[in-house]
Amino acid sequence: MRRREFLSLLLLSLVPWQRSVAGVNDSGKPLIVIDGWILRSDDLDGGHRSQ
Amino acid sequence: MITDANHKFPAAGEYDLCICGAGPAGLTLALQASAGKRSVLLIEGGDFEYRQRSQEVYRGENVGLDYYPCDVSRLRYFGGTSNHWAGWCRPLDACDFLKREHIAHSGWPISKRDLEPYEGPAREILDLPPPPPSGPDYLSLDAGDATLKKVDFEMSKPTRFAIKYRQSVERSDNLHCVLNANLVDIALKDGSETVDYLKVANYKGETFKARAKYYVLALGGIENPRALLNANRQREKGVGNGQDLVGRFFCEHPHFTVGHFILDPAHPKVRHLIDAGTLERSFYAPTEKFMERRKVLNFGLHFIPYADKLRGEYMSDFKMRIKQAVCRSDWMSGVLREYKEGFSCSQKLFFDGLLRISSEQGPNPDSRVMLSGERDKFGNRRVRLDWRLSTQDKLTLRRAAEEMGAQLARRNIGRLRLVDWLLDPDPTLPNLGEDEVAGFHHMGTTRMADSPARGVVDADCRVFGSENLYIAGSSVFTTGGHSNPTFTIIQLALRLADHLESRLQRRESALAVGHRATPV
Repeated sequence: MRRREFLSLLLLSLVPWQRSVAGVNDSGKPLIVIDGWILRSDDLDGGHRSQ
Repeated sequence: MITDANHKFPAAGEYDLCICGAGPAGLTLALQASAGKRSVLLIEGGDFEYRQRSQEVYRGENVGLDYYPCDVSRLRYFGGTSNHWAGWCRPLDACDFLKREHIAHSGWPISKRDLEPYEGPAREILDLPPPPPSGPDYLSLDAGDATLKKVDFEMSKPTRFAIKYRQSVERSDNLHCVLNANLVDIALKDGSETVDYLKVANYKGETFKARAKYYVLALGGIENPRALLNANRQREKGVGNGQDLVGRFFCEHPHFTVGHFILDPAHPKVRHLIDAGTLERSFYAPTEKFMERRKVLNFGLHFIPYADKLRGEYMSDFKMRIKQAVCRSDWMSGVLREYKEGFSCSQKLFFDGLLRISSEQGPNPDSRVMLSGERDKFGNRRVRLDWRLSTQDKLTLRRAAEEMGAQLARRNIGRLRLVDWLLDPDPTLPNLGEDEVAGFHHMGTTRMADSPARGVVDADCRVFGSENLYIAGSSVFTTGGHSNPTFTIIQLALRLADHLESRLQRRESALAVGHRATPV
């Protein structure tokens, strides 16, 4: 896991409404709940810089 | 025939059946019994049309959760609440009848199989075409891991019982419907729980006694317990209320928006999800395994797409839109600006639609119909409704939405954001005006059980301890599933008609034997 990604997830784990949702996505990565959004852990990775 | 109690009372005499309430349950039962040539007296408190003098008898007070006024969520005239019924139809699931260990007070004394013979006739009564083949399940995973499954509802026209059946009642020789005839008391034979007669009043204050071999209350989920509780002249706590269960276990179908979704237009399943929502008949319900594992109640989740957005530009860049959606959180956008180089947020709203739920409510003795201190024009105490939802009810709403969100994300079909109030560990539910809240489905208040310690009526809908008093309608539901109740109400009314016919036949046989045994 890259350092930036690790820091993001570490920070997210500190907020009270962050909870894990049962199961993983098709690639085996966990699903997370952030501020009500049920997301794949890779939803916040990369991509934006190439757009 | 149909007459008006304000002009003339029915002739004195004993009918085979006396049924109170000309709504879907009462009319179904009355027509079924009279078609078999039984004499039936059907008393209805209202007229052919809505009249304020009748409707205002339904006024009451809500002391529990925010709920519709008691005189709004039901109608008090010929045809009953079918006069504003939307038409949703679906039988209860087999699991709804079972004793489920994770749901206190669950378990009917009958099974789905007991009602299946009445599905065909109920379909005819409710004008449903032959059942369509069940469509494929596009969302759930393979059978071993399935958590959500697609279930289909059907839509009645909707059938207005007043319009469809008025002529049949008018032309019947042995079914006598009396309008503007209000049940005001249930008189018992001395020292027993057997009904002697029903005291009925018109709007002029005049009364008559209705007598029959068997009596059926078909007044609705709030009025059935109110009638029993008000009949306290001979029984201090009311008729059938020896165990203090009449009026308890009031349940509804909580109706809320639980999330906002966005979908990936490129995903092959999305079209099916949108179609399911647009057609408004397909829901996603939990598998039994999921309910058991997550300790939740039954529910139906429904996608309500914003059709204009699904056709427009908003579906063009799915991944970008996920990020934009996350940015609606000030906190999140702050974090991402800090840690993601070049990150920017858009304030544009772009949800593709709503995820709504209609959920089962767990049986709760503290959620109940009681009597208020105020009296109606007939001297009976009005209703006081204390609707409550338990922790499990609220947990079901959240776990249902979470599972749908997880399914969408897991398969990369879309993303779901739970509504704000659902994120609270002990959520405060939206009020009326903020959401639909409930479905006008009043259930459970004279619940069916295998013992008087657990319910008000037995498996035949007979009030425990009474020889001749029965209840029809959704007040006998032990649990309510997530299906709209009308279909099951009709099935139960048809089953009750069969039971009463059987009792009348046995009674006649016994009398015939008795006559033959008597020396002439």
